[in-house]
Amino acid sequence: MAAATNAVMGHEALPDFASLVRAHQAMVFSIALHYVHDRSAAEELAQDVFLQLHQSLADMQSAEHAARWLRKVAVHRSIDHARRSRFRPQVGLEDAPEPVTPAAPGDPMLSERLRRLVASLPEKPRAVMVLRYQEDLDPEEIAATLGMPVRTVKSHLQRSLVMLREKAGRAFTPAAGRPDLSREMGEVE
Amino acid sequence: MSRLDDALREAFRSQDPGPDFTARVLTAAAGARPKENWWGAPGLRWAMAAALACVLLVGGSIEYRREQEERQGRLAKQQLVLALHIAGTKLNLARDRVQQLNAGD
Amino acid sequence: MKYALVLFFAIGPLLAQDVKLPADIDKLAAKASEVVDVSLDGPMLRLAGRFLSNNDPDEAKVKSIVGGLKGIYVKSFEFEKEGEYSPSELDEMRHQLRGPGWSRMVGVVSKKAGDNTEIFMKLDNEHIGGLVILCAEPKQLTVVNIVGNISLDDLSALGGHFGIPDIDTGKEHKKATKE
Repeated sequence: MAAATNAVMGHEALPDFASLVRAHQAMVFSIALHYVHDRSAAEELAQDVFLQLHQSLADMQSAEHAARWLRKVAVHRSIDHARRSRFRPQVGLEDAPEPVTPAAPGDPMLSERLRRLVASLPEKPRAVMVLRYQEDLDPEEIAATLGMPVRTVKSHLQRSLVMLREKAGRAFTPAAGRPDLSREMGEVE
Repeated sequence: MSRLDDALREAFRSQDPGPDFTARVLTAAAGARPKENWWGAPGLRWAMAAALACVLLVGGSIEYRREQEERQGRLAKQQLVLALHIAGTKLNLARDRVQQLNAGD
Repeated sequence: MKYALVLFFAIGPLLAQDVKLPADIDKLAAKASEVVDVSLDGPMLRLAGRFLSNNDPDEAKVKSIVGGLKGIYVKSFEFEKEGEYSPSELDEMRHQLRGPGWSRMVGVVSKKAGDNTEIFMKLDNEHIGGLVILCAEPKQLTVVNIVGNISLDDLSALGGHFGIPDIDTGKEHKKATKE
């Protein structure tokens, strides 16, 4: 088994590698999964991220630093994977079933549709959406993770939500009439 | 918080990779070969680097042009969809106003 | 007189194709919190079309329509607060759109919402040869210019796709103005 590594910096001890894996595997795997929308690819990506962490463990300054590092590397590796796979699309919107009846939040079909729609976004807006809605990061944190201006993050969020409202908004459509989705959905903060 | 926000948070909840993921990672980490051994003998290392550089140079420029065109095309597609979306939104707005006007007649 | 009329109608469509944005409209970008600036001419539209999927119904429909277009131009400025632009910013365009070939199909002002939306079409026999939308809202100013051959049926078929609403081609266009 992997040797335990403890780096003591200041007042905080870095957990050993196995503890870091257990603590953050869901986060790393989910970032990859929500980005590439392919479970087996996401597991492979997540494993690669942790192997990279293992080789860089000496550079980690704290548990929090390691978590931030993992999140950043997971996103960037997912983006790289998606670029390499661009001629072999993993998901097509034609596979996403169109809801025929209005869906309520918590509906698995709606969740899957939203995940597929986000997976179809261009690489940077997709990463912004995953970090916002999986990790609950605010725009400043997203900007720091992705290395882009805060204004660009907000712009990506705004435009992605506009498109999602249009495409998935039908799932929130009542039986009759054309809804005013912008009033129903609210605006991005 | 809007319904769409709620639905997105629900859709993007973290998921576990599977019960044996941790064990697989720890096994892989234990068996990972050190990076330093990867190149082998120094002479072979330089020859491989030179050969790789040649291949990359030729292949890279072709790939670069293709990537450029693909990047431009995807950007153009995004802009097209955005433009049509904005046009549609404003047409919707005009139609809403007309309907409100007629409803008030 | 006959020749003068022929000349008028011959030049009309040519004149009607060139709708220019006000030269200084981009100064609004300095005050805007959000700017959308899309400029897709023929070659860029064709390039974009290559990346539209035939397997996705929405994208396939857009692809078929885009083939007949010569350009799509959008400028949209969003402001933090009201009063950041003058309603007269678009007067120059309105003046152009009163020229031959163009018809103002919809003009609706909502005092309550504070917005003014106008839709102009260049009609070429049974087809729309161009579409301009001017939308002045309290915190947003938008100009959309679609150039080329787009039929009302195609526009109607895009209803619900990418946000373009249904337009019933069977109904009379209503000029609704409430000042």
